[in-house]
Amino acid sequence: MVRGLGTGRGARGRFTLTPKGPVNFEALFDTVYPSLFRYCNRLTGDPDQAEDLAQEAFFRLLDRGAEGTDAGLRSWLFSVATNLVRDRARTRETRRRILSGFPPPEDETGPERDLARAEEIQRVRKALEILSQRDREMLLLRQEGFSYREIAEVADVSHRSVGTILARAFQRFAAELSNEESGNGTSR
Amino acid sequence: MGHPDKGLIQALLDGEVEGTEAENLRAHLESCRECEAGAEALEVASLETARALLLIDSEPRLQDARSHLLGKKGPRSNRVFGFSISLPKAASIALLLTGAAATALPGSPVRRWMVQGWEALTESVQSSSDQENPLGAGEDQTAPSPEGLIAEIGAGIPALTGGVEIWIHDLATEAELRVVWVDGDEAWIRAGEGTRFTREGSRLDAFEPPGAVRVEIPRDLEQVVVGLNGTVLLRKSGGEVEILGPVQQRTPSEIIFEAPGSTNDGPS
Repeated sequence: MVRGLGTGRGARGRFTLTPKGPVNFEALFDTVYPSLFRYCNRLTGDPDQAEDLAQEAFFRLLDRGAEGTDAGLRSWLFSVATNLVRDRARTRETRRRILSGFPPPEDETGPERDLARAEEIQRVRKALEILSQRDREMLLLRQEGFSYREIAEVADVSHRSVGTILARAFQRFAAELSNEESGNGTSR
Repeated sequence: MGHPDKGLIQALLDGEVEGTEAENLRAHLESCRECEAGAEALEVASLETARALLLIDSEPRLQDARSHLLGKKGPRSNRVFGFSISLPKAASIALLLTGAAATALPGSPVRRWMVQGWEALTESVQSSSDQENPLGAGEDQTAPSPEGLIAEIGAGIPALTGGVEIWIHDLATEAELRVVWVDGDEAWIRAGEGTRFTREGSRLDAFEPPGAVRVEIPRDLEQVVVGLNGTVLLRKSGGEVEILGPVQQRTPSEIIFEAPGSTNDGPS
């Protein structure tokens, strides 16, 4: 039974959960899964991958068995998912470098997809990608209602710097959106 | 006091600064046009971000994930004699084996015990399989049916942060979606029996309502999003209502959106 959840991949040592009896797993799933999926989907831009990541985080919780407050377990799940996203991003980057000589795959969305919506999604994704990995994670955690203290734990930054990083991330994201809208997007 | 940095203003906007420090900051923002403009810019950026991110959201396949995860959970916690089997099933088998032995003893009290045990078991299995709706407190399984609708259940969400997001998923073809402005400080979705609800933070989702849906929004709310199948139909921001979906009928107190299967197909 893991109480502190301070060991293993995805969990940071600073997580200390207060034991509050057995976890109602189904209730935890209902409360956290939609939010965790949305967070992973926004981070990766891939619903299938987001589903894998969110479920993997829950599997790890199940495998270890955990006790703690709902808030503590939520932070832990998001922390695990965040690390999984980072790991996959590194793998993807390696693969991209290997495959860079090949033509890109065709757009899987097909011609029926509404063009305007596809462009909007592309615009938002580009604006997100302009942010550093850490800033992007923090901005998205905030959007999921995480407090500054929780964000600091998951992103491993000091509590006092969260406001500054978020302010910069929000403004940079909004500015990039605006630039993309006017066709002056930042090239990376 | 000197000019606060952006991080501190952002923290104030996010409700992370309290007490005297918050009061001092607010007083400064009221007296300093430069900082006030900075705070407004941060607030706009924050709202723009939230709005833009809604565009890239997809619907989670909750039922699949739920059964997938809970399917894994079951065998771990309910392993019996090395076999992966749920506890109710294991209890049933034990009862049947005991019962078989008991039939060899006519008039045995074991027989009466077996019958009573079986009845108790089937009752408990029945009641546990009846749990369909994942919502806890705030759920109203016996909400009265709104006029003209087949609604029998509903779920509400308090507007604690001054805003709510309401999402309807897989509304039945030809079914009507009605948004009603109401008094109070709780938003509600009322829909037919069988609708599943999830709620987190300021967001309330209803899945697969079998018929018409009625969404009740407190009229004083500043920030509201009502969406259908991932598309925003109505947005209220700073008191301004923006209708983005196809409207069938609109009065000061309610808006009826066209059904998904009607002639004018879906919102643009």
